Amino acid sequence: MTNPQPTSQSFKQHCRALVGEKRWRASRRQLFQLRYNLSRFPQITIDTMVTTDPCHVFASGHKLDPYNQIVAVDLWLENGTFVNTEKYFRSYTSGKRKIASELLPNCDQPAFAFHVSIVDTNTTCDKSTSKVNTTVQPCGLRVHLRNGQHRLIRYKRRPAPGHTLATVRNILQRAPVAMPGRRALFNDVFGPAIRSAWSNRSQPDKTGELVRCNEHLRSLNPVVSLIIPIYGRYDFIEHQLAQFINDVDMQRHEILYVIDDPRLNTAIMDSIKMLEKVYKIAFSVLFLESNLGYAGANNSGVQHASADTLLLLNSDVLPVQPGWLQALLALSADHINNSIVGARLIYEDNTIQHNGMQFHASMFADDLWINLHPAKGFPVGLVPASQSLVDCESVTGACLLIKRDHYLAINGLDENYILGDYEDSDLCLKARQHGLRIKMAETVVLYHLERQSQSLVSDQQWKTDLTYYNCWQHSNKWDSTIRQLKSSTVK
Amino acid sequence: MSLTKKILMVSHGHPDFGAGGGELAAYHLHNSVNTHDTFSSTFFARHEQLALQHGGTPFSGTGRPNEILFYSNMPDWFRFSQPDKSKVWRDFREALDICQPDIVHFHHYLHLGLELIREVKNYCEDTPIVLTLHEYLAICHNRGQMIKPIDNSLCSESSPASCSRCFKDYTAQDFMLREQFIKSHFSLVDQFISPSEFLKQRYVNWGIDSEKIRVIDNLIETTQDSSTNSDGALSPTVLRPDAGSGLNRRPVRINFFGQINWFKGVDVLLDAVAKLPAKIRGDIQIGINGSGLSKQPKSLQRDIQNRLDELNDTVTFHGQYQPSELAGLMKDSDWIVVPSKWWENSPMVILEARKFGVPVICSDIGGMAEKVIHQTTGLHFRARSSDALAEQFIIAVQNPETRDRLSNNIRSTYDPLASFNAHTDLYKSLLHIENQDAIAIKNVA
Repeated sequence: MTNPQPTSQSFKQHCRALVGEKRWRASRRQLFQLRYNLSRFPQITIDTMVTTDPCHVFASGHKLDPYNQIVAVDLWLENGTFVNTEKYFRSYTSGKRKIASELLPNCDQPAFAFHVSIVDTNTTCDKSTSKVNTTVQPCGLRVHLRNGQHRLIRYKRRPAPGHTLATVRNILQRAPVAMPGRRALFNDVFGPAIRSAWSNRSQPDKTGELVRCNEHLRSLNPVVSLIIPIYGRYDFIEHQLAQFINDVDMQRHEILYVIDDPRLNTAIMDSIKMLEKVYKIAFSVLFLESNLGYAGANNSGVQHASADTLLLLNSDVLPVQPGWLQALLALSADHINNSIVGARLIYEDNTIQHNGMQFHASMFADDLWINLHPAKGFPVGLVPASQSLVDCESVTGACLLIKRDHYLAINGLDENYILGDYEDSDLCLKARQHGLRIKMAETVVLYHLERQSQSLVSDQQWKTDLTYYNCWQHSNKWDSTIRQLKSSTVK
Repeated sequence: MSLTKKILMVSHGHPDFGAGGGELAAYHLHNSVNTHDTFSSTFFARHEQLALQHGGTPFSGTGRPNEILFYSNMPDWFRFSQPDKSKVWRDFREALDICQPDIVHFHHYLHLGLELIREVKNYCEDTPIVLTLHEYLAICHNRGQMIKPIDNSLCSESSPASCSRCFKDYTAQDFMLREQFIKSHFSLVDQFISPSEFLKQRYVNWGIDSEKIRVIDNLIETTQDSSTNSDGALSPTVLRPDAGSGLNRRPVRINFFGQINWFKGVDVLLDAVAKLPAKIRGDIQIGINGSGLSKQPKSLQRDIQNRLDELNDTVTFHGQYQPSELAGLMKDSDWIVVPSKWWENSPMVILEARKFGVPVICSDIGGMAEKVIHQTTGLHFRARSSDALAEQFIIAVQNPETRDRLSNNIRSTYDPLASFNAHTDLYKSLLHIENQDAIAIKNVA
């Protein structure tokens, strides 16, 4: 059925037939030339070189060194000093760039990357105060050869400081796609590099401007503050209001939208002035000065929340019937002081989207812990719902009930995850550490038009890479906690 | 009162997205089972509607309870294997864990993957597996038609050697591997169902134990429908109220239902009409109901179109019909014609005709010859012969009493619940549930 894999000999013959004898001979000459050149000096190209924070440099490139002449590679700084990279230097196959390395020996791992500190190991790097090295830029590599010689390779492009997300993307682009050892590479190089770049981003103003709509209808002692971040699509505001207004219970609560998309501030400001005339229900809108991401937006929203209990809610979550929040509160009454409570979410076709999450070591992601949604896609009727709260490993942040004090005590959602992923299970794990339990209210059902609200990233590879990074970070941070959790539930 | 026994009805398609005979039979059975006291059913249907997919799961719903949609779009037309094995051990297993079936009834394996059958045994060794064989796919690589692609002649037996002569891209060894692979999974099936004796015999010849195959016909409607509609369908009143008599007799109405393609023999039908004497042609009206002409090769399309134009006084092309229109169309028919050039299994149209008491003129081969008894419930003609079909048309026109006689025969023997009861009896025997009658007898004793 399938053809056997061509052997290297038949592959070579195949190529020869394909390109024609004349070109084949010419390319053979080129190959010999390349081999000769490489025997004199191996080829090294620097693809990128960036300072991830004032104290660290990430670099990545390709090398062809068929005769194993390279003994060491140093990072060359502008001030004329060199940093030894030995401990951090990693070679790998990127899988993203095709290199004709099959015809050369010892070139099966042509890509390399490293992330090193450029300050002395004995002086600690304090980003906020230390001014040292902030002006020192890397300018290339120094390659030591076996014969004792060394050469300088200058990185010609200026390392542009640019936007942090662009830096993250630049680094992630160099990361290998699925391969054995990818996780180790993230542990050694890519993970720390991205983390340092991301945590070094300029901290934007998080206060924002709060606008209250239908203020005269506002409950002064709300029971629950609903925190609803908006990014991209904002027609969901009207869809939610149209449902909330038919539910008298919602008058007891505070509805707080957090606009995490400054591009839309003007449009939404115009829109809500109209909405408050039609939908006679109190709601507030917090306009942020810049895009903070899912975690940052929620954390900012919580600063303005006036109720003791918070409900983190996605904008694309719609109640199936009125009284849902009342029901959720009734079920949670005896537990909310020591628990986080999630709700059952369903798709438009009445199948399960979320009924609690489980940690699962995925064989498709190097055994990193991923968040599994059991029974996802199955008709609700086939998945029995318990009348009381049930324990589960974690719940989604798309609809999550938590005491405000608890939320603040565990520092809210972790903003180290990039562009929204894994913050919710991270929050649940932090809560567990804090002694809280995670529970599901399976009889409280809401629609969730999953992923309709976040068309954040159009480039698929970038998205996959980013998910992998967030997943890696989550797994590394919580590995032992999750293992403990798994072993205790097995008993 | 014991708990209901759960049946997982696995189908390679859902009637919502195109109604093939196998999917419809499975869906009718599913809905019928859910009206039964002892059993309940969950319909597990494969689909490839990208728009209905959710992220991170192959499952979605139709909005109706007890129906699971399963996305899989990489069919293996040769071995019927599931190329994405995680759909087997992870996804299908999750469905089994959630449904916890007492019986898994497969209506197909194409698109789903034969490995799903094995996963049932991995899930629970004791769960009985039923597989309904809807055509000859396992035996024949030519889309299960058992027609030789070289010359379109009828084929009666497969073997690696003869199959490799039909398909140059595959060696005899490939066909041997194919057969062994399929049989490896078939060996786990506890009970096969064949809708026809003819199809059963083909599978027995192919190597399946005769004891393991039970002949039960397909369901063409849910049991609920048959109890509410049956009086309309099988009215014992005058058979052809508007037929008239003598010179006032209206033309005899003969209808064709089905896909318009080479196998269904529309060209044989048109040839036969063209060969009828002019006088007979005036007394006959042929209606062609069905879609698919536009998907056929250009030459066939042109050929059929030309002949339709020539015969437009006798033949009317009605095109596609909705399932809801079928009853009206059937009641309006004096005869149904099934001129298929291939074996068929248990054609839906013959079952439908039986329900409405309409006699059938059909080819004298395979499942058709078995389901329609010549001169008892219909008329046979030599398969693929337009002359023979024309001859039967003349008999039909000249002997109106034949039609009434055959129709009465059908009405007197038709039992709308027969195949459903046979299915539930089978389920009961697999689960060792005794019949109510048997219990009653025991109590008396």
